[in-house]
Parts: sequence; structure tokens; C-alpha cells
Amino acid sequence: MDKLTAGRLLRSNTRGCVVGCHISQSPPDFGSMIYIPTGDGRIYGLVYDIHIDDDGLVRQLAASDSISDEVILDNRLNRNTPLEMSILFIGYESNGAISHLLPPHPPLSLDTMHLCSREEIRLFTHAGNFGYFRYLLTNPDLPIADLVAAHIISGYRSQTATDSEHWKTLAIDRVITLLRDNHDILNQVLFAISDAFNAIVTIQED
Amino acid sequence: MPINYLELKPQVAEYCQQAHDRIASRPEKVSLAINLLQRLADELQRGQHQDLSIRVADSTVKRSALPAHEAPNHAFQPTADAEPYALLASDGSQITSSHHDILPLSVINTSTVYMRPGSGQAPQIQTQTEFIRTQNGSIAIDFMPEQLVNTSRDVRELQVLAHFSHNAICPLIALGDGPLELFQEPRSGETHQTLFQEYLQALFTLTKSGRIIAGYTDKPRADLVVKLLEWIFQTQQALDISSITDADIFSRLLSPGARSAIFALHSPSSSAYQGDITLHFFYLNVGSSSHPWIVRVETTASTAMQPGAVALLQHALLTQCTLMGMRPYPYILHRAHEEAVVHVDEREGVMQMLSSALTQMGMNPGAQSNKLNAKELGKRTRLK
Repeated sequence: MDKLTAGRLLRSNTRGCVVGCHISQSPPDFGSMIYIPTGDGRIYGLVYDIHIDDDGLVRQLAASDSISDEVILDNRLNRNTPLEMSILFIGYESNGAISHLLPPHPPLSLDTMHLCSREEIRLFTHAGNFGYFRYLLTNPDLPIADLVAAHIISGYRSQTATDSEHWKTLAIDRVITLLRDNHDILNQVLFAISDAFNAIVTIQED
Repeated sequence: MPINYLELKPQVAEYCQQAHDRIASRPEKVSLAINLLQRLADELQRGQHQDLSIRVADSTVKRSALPAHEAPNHAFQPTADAEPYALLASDGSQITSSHHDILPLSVINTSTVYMRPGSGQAPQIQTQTEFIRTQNGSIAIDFMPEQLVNTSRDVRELQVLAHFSHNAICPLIALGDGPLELFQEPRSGETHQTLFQEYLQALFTLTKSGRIIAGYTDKPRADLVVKLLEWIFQTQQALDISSITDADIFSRLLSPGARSAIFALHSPSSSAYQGDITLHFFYLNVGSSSHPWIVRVETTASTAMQPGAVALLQHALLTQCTLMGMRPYPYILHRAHEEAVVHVDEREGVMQMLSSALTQMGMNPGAQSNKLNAKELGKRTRLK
């Protein structure tokens, strides 16, 4: 697996997929935007869950008084314990055209997943009018507030310096519009976005 | 539900009653055995029983312990610290087939795990998968008895320990799962004899390389020390220490971390293990004060006669067992097992690989028997 490959597809449907990678690899962050190459383009998605399954040995080791470095490395490097990432599809690209609709076909087993660069995020988020937000905001199984906040931070950082504030305002306006009938969720999302940007300001001040 | 539980229920009660009677009589028998062990130690110190190895060879006793260079009732505490050392463990698994399968298949899968405690480095793992070969070197394509495959696996497990390249200066402890004495039944036949000689050769190679050698038996049911006591004292007094095991004795004698004295092993095949590879063993309490857990550690004379090597082995086994928490077992042996074990789907994968290759060559690989096919019908699930 080359450096740019963030994992390989384990299972999928038209709304999302699960990608696995070795536990020793650095997985994409929660909320990262990724793409999966297809025959004539690529499928875009967001990482909304990262999980590591246990097994009997790990449970037993965790309960022991002390674990040596060799044992920890053995479990991370040698044992077959995959790290799984759940991906929400948010659009696709076909023959150079970006769409914020769901992909017409799911990707196939063992397809590779790659992390989007800032330029790729900028191009995707500028195409259309945030139509893909409906996938983030209407699925009760997702950690909606944190996922939206993570995505807006990521999108904000990927815009050009002159365009980032404008893009952020448009994105938040779109969130408010889509959640105008669901005040509970809207409040949670706005609080999460506020927390995320406060954290950025704090880091910059430090 | 193939089990007739109604019929079984009264038998369960009968089973438990018998077990209760045996368990109830055990503490008294264990106390008697401990007294006899003390008496044996005293008599040995006074110079008695000097010809035990000769006498036992002429007796009808098939398997028993023999006192070695340490007082048989003595317990040896572990050392707190140890010099740097490395551990090497091997384990094996096998694929066998019957004439009901599509093709005859005899494959062994052997793993080795090498680790250096305190190095901060991940263990190194190697796996070898190979078809079993006949004596002329060609792959065995006829059905092979399961016992022969198992013996071949045991030989390969020891060979990978013997031939592992170890360049570090520190001592290397080579660990196997189960006793070092090769179990083979029947012991006759040219192929078995060849394998046995290969096994002895690998054991010699291990001893010559200066490696500390151990075969680890968890939950041992051996009664070798019991048999020794019965044999020595049976004619002198009426005693009944039957139905107890050595572990029953040493779970009382050994505090957590302590090991028993080293004993030599007398068995029908012990005459084949001579010189540096003469088999010895000791018991080790890898449990805690509230949950003693006795294991048997078999080793060779080359290790048993070096107090420093035995102390290092004891330290290493206890450290490994501690890694596994409440259910002590050497971590490295468990990992070797994990890496070696062949699962059912992998067996089917190898069988499929062979069938496909034969089909591509224009050959008909054959089919599994109708009986096996019918048995596997239950595995299938309905289509959704």
C-alpha cells in the first residue's frame, strides 16, 4: 500500500462504505474528506467513524497489570487487527464533472481510498450549492454535529485566504436553512461549529 | 438435538457422585505423597536409593520420574532480575485429508516467533507452509495417516527451533508447546523411525548451539513423581496414592513463582535420549497465592545441569505468563499458536487451489464422497 493510500474497501453500498487499513498506518482524521477512484472518475466521502475491533487476546492483555512495549508492538504490527473506517458518500466525479448526488454504483471490494488534498476539497466544496449537506444532516445514525463541524473546519482551511470567511458563512447559512425545522439538531450543530472555530482561534493565539 | 438429555440426567448424577468421592479422598492422598517425598529426600541424603535408574530400568514401571541432582522435595524461588535474553517459540498445525475429500492432502504449517524482552522491538514472525514429502523427497500425494502427519509436524516444530539463526550475544531460550519427548504411536515402521532420528538430530543441534530448551505443558496430568513414590515405597508399606497427579502435590509445595526440583524422565523411549539430550523436567507454579497453577516444563540435560540456565528459564516463563494476566500462559507460545493454526476455510482454500491447478492442466481432480457432501449440507444457509 503506497503512502497516499489510506485503506482498502471492505464493503459498500450506494450511500457509504467501510474501509480497512492496518492498525500501524495513520488513519485519516474523523471528518476527513476522501475519494475512491472509479473507472471514469472518483467517489467522494467523509470519514464519520473509526473503530478498532478487539479479540479475546486483546481483552485478556488489557486486564493484565503491565504490558511490555514488545507486546504492544506485536499486537499493532504483527497481529491481524484491522482498523475500520466508515465512510459517508457525499458525491462523485465523472469525466471531470463533480456532482453532489450519490454515486450511481458503489465502489468494489479492495478499491483503494485516498485522502483529499486541500485543492481537491476546495474544488468539491465549490461545486454546486452544498447539496451534499443533506446526507450529513438527515441521517440520525451519524454524529451530525461533530461531523458537520469537522467538515466545515476542513473546508474553511482548504479555501483560499480571501475566500475562506465567505465560504464559511455560506456553509453555515446552508446548515441553518436545512435544519430550520429541527431546532434541537440545529443548536447542537451550531454549538459544535462554534467550539471548533474557538479552538482554532485559541491555537492561533497560543 | 441429538443428545437424549432425559437419558443423560441420571448418568450425570452418577458421574458427579464418583467425581465427588475421588475429589474428597484427594487431600489425604496428597498429604501422604508429600510425606513420602520428604522421606525420599531424607533417604537420598543419607545415601540410599543410589541405584534407582538401574533398578527402574529392570522394573515393570513404564513411566516415572527419577531424582536428579536436586533434593526432590525442595522448592526454588525465582530470581528478581535476569540478564538480557531472547525467546524463540515454535508451533505447528497441519492439514490432513481422508479418502472422502477431493484430493489427498498433507500439509504442515509451522510458525516461529522471536522476541527480545526489554528491547522495545516488535517480535519477528516467520511462517513456513509445506507439503509433506516422502523419503525420496517427492511430495506425498497418497493419503497419509494422521498420526504420521502429526509426528512430521512435531519434528518440523523442533527443526525450526534448531535451525533459527540467532546472532545476538544474549542467551536464547527455545520454547515449544507440550513435552519434548516425541509422542509417536506406533513407534515402529521405517518412516516413523526416520522421523524419530530427525527429531533426535534436531534436539542435538539445539543443545550444541547452547540454547536453553524447554517444552511447556499447561495443566499437566502426569503422575511421574507419584509413580516414583509408589514404586519405591509400595513394598514397604500399604499406601494408596492412586488417582492423584504430580500437579496435586506441587500445588501445595510450590509458592507462586517457585519451581520444583529437577527430575529425570524414565520412559520407554528415554534410552534414545542420551547425553546432552537426556530428558528432565520440573514443575512450576505460574499462578498466584489464591489461584496456584502448576505447569510442567520439560528440558534436556544440557539445560537442566546449568543452574543459571534453569533460573533464567524460570524467570522468562514467569515473565511471559504474567503478560497474559489472570490466565497465565507464555505469551510467545500463544502467539506462535495463533500464527500457525490452520482454519477450516484455509484448508478448503488449499484444496480449491489444488483442484483449480489440476483442472487447468486438463486433469479431472475428482470429487468428494457423497457421504462428506451430505454431511456438509447442514453448513449451507438459505439464499436471501
